[in-house]
Amino acid sequence: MKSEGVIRKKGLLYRISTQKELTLLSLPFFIYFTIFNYAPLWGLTMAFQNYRPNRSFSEQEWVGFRHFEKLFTDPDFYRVMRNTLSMSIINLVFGFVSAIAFALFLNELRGKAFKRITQTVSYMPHFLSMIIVCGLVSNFLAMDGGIVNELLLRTGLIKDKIHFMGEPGYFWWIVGFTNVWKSMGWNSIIYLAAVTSIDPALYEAAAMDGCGRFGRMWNITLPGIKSTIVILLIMNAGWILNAGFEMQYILGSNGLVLDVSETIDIFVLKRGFGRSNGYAFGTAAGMFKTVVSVVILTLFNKIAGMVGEEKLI
Amino acid sequence: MRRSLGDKIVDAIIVFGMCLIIIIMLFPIWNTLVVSFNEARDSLKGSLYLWPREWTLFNYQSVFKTDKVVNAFLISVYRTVITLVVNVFLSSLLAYILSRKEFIFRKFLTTFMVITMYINAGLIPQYFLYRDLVLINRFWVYILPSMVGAFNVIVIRTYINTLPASLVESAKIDGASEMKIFLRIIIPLCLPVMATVALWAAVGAWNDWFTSFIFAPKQDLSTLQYEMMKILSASMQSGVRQPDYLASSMQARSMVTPNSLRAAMTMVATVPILIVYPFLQKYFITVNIGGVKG
Amino acid sequence: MRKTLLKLVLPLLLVITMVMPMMAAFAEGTPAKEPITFTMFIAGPGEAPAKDNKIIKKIQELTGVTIEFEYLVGDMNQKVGIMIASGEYPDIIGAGQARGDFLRGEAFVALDDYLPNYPNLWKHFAPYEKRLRDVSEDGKIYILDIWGRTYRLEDGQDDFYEGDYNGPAFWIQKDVLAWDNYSNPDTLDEFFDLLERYYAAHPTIDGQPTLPFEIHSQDWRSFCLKNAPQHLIGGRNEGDVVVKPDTLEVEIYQNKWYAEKYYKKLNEEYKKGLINAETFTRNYDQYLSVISTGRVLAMFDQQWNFQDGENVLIAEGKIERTYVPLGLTFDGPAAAYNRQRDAGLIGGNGIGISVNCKDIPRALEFMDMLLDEEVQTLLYWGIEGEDYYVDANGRYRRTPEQKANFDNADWRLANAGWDLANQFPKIQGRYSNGNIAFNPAAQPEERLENQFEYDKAFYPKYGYFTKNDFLPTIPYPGYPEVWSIFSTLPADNVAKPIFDEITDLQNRYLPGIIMSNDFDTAWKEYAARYESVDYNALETEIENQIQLRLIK
Repeated sequence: MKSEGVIRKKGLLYRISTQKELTLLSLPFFIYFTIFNYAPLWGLTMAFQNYRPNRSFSEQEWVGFRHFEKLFTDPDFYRVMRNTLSMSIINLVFGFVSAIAFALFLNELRGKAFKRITQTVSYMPHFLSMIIVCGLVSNFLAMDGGIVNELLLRTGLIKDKIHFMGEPGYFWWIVGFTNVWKSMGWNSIIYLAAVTSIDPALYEAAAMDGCGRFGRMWNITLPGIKSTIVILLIMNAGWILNAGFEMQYILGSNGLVLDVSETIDIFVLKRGFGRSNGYAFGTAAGMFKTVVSVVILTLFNKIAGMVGEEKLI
Repeated sequence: MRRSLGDKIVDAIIVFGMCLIIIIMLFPIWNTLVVSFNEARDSLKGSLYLWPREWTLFNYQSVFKTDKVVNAFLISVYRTVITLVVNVFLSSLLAYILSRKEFIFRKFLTTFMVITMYINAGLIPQYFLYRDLVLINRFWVYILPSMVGAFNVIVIRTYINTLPASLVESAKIDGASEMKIFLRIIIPLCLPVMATVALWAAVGAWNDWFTSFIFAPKQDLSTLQYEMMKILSASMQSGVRQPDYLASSMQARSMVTPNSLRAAMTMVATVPILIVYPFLQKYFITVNIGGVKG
Repeated sequence: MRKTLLKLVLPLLLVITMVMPMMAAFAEGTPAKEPITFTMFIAGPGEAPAKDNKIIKKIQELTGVTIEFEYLVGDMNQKVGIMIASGEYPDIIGAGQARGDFLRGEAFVALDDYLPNYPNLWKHFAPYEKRLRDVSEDGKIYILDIWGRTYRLEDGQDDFYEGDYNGPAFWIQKDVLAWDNYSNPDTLDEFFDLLERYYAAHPTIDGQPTLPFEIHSQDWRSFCLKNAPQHLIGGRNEGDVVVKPDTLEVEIYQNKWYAEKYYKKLNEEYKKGLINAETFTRNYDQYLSVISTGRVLAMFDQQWNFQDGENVLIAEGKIERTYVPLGLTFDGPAAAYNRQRDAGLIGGNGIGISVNCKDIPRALEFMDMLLDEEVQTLLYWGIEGEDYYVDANGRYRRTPEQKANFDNADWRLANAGWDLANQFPKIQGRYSNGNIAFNPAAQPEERLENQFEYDKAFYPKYGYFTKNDFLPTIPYPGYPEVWSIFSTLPADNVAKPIFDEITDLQNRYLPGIIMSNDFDTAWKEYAARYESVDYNALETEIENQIQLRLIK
């Protein structure tokens, strides 16, 4: 802290000169992001145009905020926002908790081979396409020969079969469960990596103090990976409006659950699909999502700083 | 170290729980394997779970019927290996730079980079950019756009931040250059997180077919996943068959359905990338017996 | 073999040399033999024929032309959007569902001046010139249809060549009819009455619960749910509207009395347990799966949509569980549904030559050559002596081995011309020598041979020859089916958003209405929502579009 204060007095140029190497090394990255991520941003102007792909930029027709107006005044907009946020929060909470818990318990396993096998198997569903996973979910939950209904019936938990896929109340939870199934193992990998940075001496000290199994998990492992958890949470919170598209589309396109299954991405596709202004409308919706992301990121970043956690920026 | 009875019970519970997870997580891929070896028309009847009812290799034959797959496989391997190496190295380097609290452009560059994760201009401007960079239908379109990933950088930076700051400081005092600190001190300590990022980069590059579809549709640049998508898409044709396309009431016994093809394709495309895994796994799976790492 | 080829090439060359001087561009052209490769993008799924395909090689020798296909694999809008924005088109474009985008993007060359110079093409398209033109805003010809031009000989035999009906109907298992002493219900009430009786007598089939009536409603396949009412009052398959036969007025019908009457009936049957609630949440695979177990007694659907499930029944020899179409109406007699004569081509359903094409005359010349009857025979029947034989009466026939070859998709890829020919204008119906074109399996002799023993006993009970005879035929009303007109409309047509809105409304409400405890209230709520949509504008627009395409 002290040395930083001293340097600050000497002015910007002096500071750059002391960090010549860092500055030079970071320059190519700056150029890279500028070219590959910022240069194409001129495309955002489409959100204010009646974009037609065969016209050059100067020939496009400008329409101001019309697409945004259409987006926000659509009677279905608030319903799809509700669906999106609900499913996002369910995914965020269950996705995080399951992946972290799995990593913690996996870390407690003794046998090396068993540990490796468990971990390898757990991330396999990640490699299956959504359509395969959703097909399996539909089959499990079916009334006609579905394994879940059979089990519940045989154990006497229910008297009549449950129409899982046709009951709006279940839909968000089915999506949440499917997400956990598909990505718990995959998402836990980063926490396993984070655990390796914990100083083994800490565990020994804890054992000396008579700390039990769960005590070690709670008092050492979890704090050890806290900064990773916080940073991932902030980044993922930024994607809160990306609740998914494919899964909801595959599982929820029947009339009985349509009201709760449509996310903002599905909505944008439906409103823009095959229309002359499809690109423009999609771009406008994308801008809206970016704004929401930036607001949430800033907010979460602030909160993290306030409670003394590692900040994203 | 002596283990208490309570410890043993906890162990047993954890092992039991993990076995349950293994079953639940193994089932989908096992079922996909079963479907891939089962006769397609029979699979259509459903209720196929743990073992094939009618064995066949026909689904795999349909996947491997052209020699295009071989070249596509090689392209996939090249792009995956190059992306893995480049992305991990550059992301780590940037992560190191951004982990240096005193770096005056740290905050600016971090923000500049983080925003790229949440903003997207759409496909058309991207296509124009790649065209201006002469990347369309060139191998480099697989590499250049995915050389650094903001997400990866942040994850590595977070890991570096958990390392003792004194390591870098003392090296600086010894007069080591930044590059040397990065190569000699940071990289060896960051292997676990680098292995994670390597896995992400490799799987991402391996599974991506969209780049080929839009930016490199040329046949000799086709990737394994794109070839798979082509075969799958062709099989979908039967769903929207033109009238009278196959009016013959006795069709050949050999037939494929999109589902069976998809199962075989998934196996073909997944197995090679699974082979990479054990090599990376050793970096983040360590044995932690009674709190002491093995 | 050489001789027939020569016979084929000579007249073509003659025609070409006659045509040549008419066009400046063509005059510069070299003789047709010089090899040229055209790139071709198809905005739909498909598979390119193998490089060493024997028929394709022959076509190359004949025309000097090689076609390099790129089929659509992912999202059409993304791919086509990029193509139009960048202007990087291949030589030839199979427009598919993206026709509107390509037209608006000015991707095609106008073919008006070229077309009359190619005799086969001109003969093929001249009767439908109006429809080709009316697809585009400036009334020029940009897209040449590849489907729908049916050649008839008008010798009284044409109907035997129509192939199996695979369109919309109430499809019912043969065994249900046979059990009822080969009855032939023609009203909705009789139909459900029969299902109720059969279901009571057969609560299970092969040990699993019987599913008397399925209504598939997933995604774009929801036509199974929605399209029946138009037929129940005697209409053709227009899709989402009914066209009044005499005035050609158009009416949206999902809120009309006949729709209400149908859904009310379904609601009653649901309460009686004939319709299972799960039918609305079954995905397509599960739908095919229950059909393939043979326990679905009936459904409203189009046969091609459940064909994969029916094929399983055929493979297992359960012919009594396969289906025949019923043309139910509210009050009888049976209607034709979509069994009509000679629908003709739609307009806009085909390929265009892009503005980047390296040699327009050469590309058209290639299509023209493909339309020759002998080349068509080569493409669809194969090589005489190898893939088919000609019997003493001049009839094209195939041995069982030859048939089996053609039924194998992988064999076709390496040995048949279909994958090339399907993407270009083709002869459907019959060749001038009376043999069937395009679909060898529908050659009447072969169809008869292929019939199963069960069918040979089943159909004669009704005095029928095939399942087609369950439906009467209707003459062609002079305009294409409305759903097909609809698919050719450009993206900014006024009818599109209205159509999306009512489609969404229907998909959202109808399953709930059928399952409702109080049908009348549920229906009223739905009908009220419907009134908030300006569907009159859609009706007017469709009326205009019909007039544009009307050929009397």
